[in-house]
Amino acid sequence: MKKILIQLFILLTVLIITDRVLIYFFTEFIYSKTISGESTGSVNYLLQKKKNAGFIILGNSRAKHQIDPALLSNVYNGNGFNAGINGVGGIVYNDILLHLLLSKGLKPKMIILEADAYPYFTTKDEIIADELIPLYPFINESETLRRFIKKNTGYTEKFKLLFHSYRYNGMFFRVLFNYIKQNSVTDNNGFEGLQGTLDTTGFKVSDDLSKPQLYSQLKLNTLVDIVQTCTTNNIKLVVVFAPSYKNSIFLKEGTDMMIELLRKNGVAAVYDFSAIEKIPLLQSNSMWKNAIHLNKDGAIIFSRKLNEVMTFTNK
Amino acid sequence: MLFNSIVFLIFFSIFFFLFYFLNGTNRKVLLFLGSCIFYMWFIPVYILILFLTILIDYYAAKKIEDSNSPAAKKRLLLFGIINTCLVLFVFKYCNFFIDNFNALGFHKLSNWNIILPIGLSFHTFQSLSYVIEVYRGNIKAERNLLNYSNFVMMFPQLVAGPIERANNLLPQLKTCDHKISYKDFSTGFYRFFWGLFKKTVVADTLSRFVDAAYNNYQFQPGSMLLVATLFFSIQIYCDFSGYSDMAIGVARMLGFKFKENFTLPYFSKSITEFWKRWHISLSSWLKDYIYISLGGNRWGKWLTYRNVMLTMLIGGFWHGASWNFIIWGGLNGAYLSLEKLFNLSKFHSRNIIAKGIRVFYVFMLFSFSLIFFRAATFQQSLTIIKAITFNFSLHKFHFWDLSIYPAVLFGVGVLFMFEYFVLRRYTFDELFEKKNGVLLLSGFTLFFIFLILFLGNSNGSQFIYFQF
Repeated sequence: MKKILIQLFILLTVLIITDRVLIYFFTEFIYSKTISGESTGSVNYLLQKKKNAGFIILGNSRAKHQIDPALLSNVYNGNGFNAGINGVGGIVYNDILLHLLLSKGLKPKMIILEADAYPYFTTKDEIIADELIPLYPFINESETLRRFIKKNTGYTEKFKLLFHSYRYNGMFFRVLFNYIKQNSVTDNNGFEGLQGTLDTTGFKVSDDLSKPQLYSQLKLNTLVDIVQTCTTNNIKLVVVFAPSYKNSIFLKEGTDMMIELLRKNGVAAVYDFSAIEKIPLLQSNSMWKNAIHLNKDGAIIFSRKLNEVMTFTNK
Repeated sequence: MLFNSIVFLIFFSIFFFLFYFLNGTNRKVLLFLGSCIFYMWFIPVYILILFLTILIDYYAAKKIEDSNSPAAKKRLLLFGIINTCLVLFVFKYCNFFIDNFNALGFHKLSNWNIILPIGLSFHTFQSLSYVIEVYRGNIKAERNLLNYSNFVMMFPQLVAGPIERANNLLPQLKTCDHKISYKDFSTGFYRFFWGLFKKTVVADTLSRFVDAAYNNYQFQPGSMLLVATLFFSIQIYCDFSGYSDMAIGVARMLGFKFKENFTLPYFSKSITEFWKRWHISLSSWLKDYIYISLGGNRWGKWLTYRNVMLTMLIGGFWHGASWNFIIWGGLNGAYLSLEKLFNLSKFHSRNIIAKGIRVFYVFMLFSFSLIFFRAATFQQSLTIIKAITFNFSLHKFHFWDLSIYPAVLFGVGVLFMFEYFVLRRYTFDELFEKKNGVLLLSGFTLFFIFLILFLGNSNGSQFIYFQF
């Protein structure tokens, strides 16, 4: 037994030392120089190159591919950055990101939050690990992230995080790839227009949306936290609800409930375009990449519409 | 409880220390209780089914041994086989027969709303082999119910094999007084992490691509479906052999030696050789209890082909209650028969290119059969084959998430290198005995742990063979 314990001890010690040393060098010399890609490279870009952004767009892929900061000329002359992220940019991710940016001294004048009622309904309130994982590289710097991990993930996640390598789980090659191409990263505002057109053959709106939905209290509370953080830091908050093709993810009841919650917490600037009928130009399938993402042409129309209605915010 | 979960890590850490310090009956009781906890982690009530099969075969075997009349022995054997198979039929195959009966249009029977008990096919086959071996007089019936329960229930092999034989495992469980040596623990420990690497880094990464392609097969060009099928061949190998490695590793850490279940099957140069190296515990089971019982190769070549086909069809049906699994088994039976017919498995060449071509041919044939294994329905399989054959459309190949490919290439590369340069030449035991073997194995294990941390799927996904 003694020999077994000694072996385990040595292995564990070597594992932990290697883990710490490897990740220290990886973070210092590779990760911190990575300024593109979805493995928080774009967050590094924002922190390192866009400290003077007038506004920042937060949200998921529907923010990233649908709102072009350059077209919001009436809002701080289009000097903004789109920090939307594919797949995981739910409200928890955005809340952590906002706190992280503020703690790093990046304080925009305005936050444009793209919100959809759709990602807010869930019966599994506590399962938010997917939204936290992309920000694990910032675990040392983000108190909010640590708080969410502590409260809203199981012991499994906490255990894995004892190993610093786990912070880059699933990101390793993506970070390396983006590190190699760091010199080819051109000045950008985070927006990525999508090419292609929606093929409507066999398209059908899901029946699930007509069923009563359950809304996650955790996510609604997090939305309120974003509102309060903006208020405390004197940042103007604008909330935008984007449309979907044939209202495929439009939840009227949920949208109304969220708007009411936002108004109750003092958010005056809420632009609700969740019903496609509000922007008739976007009703054609030629404006959509797929049912929930506008293509580049659609994004131009949507961004211009936002620019039009947001003129006042510059005052 | 999944091997690739933190719960198991905690469970096993506690279990190991208790097991180490106990001996004799206390150890056996601990093993029994540990196995119960392990199994009940899935659906607790299903442990009663396990107990039922244990009791049936325990008493059947005892009575067979006690009986003097051959006719009575035979009756008792049939009693054991029929009852054990009945459990399998009720939980696994009943809905399949109802569906087919309904499809014939005779009557509309409703399906049973039932969840298949995890690992049912594995432990029933293990039980059956025991009763048959007692009947054949190859082993003595176990007189201690605790020993026999541990033989069937021992947690490392309970839910997805290897299907252990009584002559190997029962003697080890009988005394349970063995000392766990440093070598046992170390080789088991290294083996476990090798399996974990295969599962979490290779299989789970590949499954992202495979699932995306197969779940939307109607919209994919043949090129995507071909790549997905080849990826699935690697995925299922890493998933299942990874589980076997972990099972063998866990057992070894406790001082038990299981039989090998996979011996680098994708390096096989014929389908015949492949089936001697793939899921060995099942193929040898089928050979010993089905193929040989049917007459094996004793009555001429045509009856041999018939026996091969029947054995493989049953092997396919063992995997799952659907026509697709039967076809999968049938295809492999046909491959084996054709190889026998044309004597292909006897063809040998020292030329490395010829060897490479043969390895490639085995891989491609097996991958083709796996289309039926992976697809949900027969219709789906046909659509996929049609797309690969007539709608290949390489230009329509879309890469989805590009981040998958470096991880796939790296994971499969490490897998290939380690198997080709290390495991093809040495077993873990042999490596351990070599000069600096411990250092080398520790280095490999640390490397695998880092790969798991960096690239591994962290969600603790299920193993494919749990469904069987």
